[in-house]
Amino acid sequence: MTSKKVKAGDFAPNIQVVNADGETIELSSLWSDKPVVLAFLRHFG
Amino acid sequence: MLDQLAQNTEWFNKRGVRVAAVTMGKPYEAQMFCAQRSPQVVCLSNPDQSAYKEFNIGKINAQDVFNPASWRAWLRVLRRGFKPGPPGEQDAQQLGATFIIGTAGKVLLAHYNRFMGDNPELGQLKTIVEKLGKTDVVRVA
Repeated sequence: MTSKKVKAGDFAPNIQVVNADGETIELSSLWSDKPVVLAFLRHFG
Repeated sequence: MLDQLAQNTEWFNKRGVRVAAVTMGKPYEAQMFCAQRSPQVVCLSNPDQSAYKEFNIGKINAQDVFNPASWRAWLRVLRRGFKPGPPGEQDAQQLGATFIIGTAGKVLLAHYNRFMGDNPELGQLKTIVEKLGKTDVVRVA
């Protein structure tokens, strides 16, 4: 785990997440072909 | 933030930018949630919050409960017609964050929510995306 907050100019951490189909993907696959706006949400409530 | 992004996904997509949301829900929960709220947004599931930790996204502290800005954000959500509910199994203290990441993996914008509802201005995101069209390789699928 990184100990510092990510800031503009840093390389984004890559980690595995699960897509809505239940498949494990690399987060980096989101920005490998085009830029991404990536929002980390709070809980669903 | 999700609602603002959902309403503007087409704008971002037209400029060759993907919009994605990481949630703490299980995959089927994330699928249902995003189908209702943001069908065009790429929805991801991260129930163990490992991605939140990797990006070092903070948690709400006790002072945040008394922060007027938090309550204003809460009211904004209510005015939009959403009725916030209990977090269920998810971490109620987890804050959100928003990033714009270029194709080289470089972070172009990092906004960490300091309290509930402390989201970046949509205009700020759009300004960066507009500039991105001139400085980064943008391909439309």
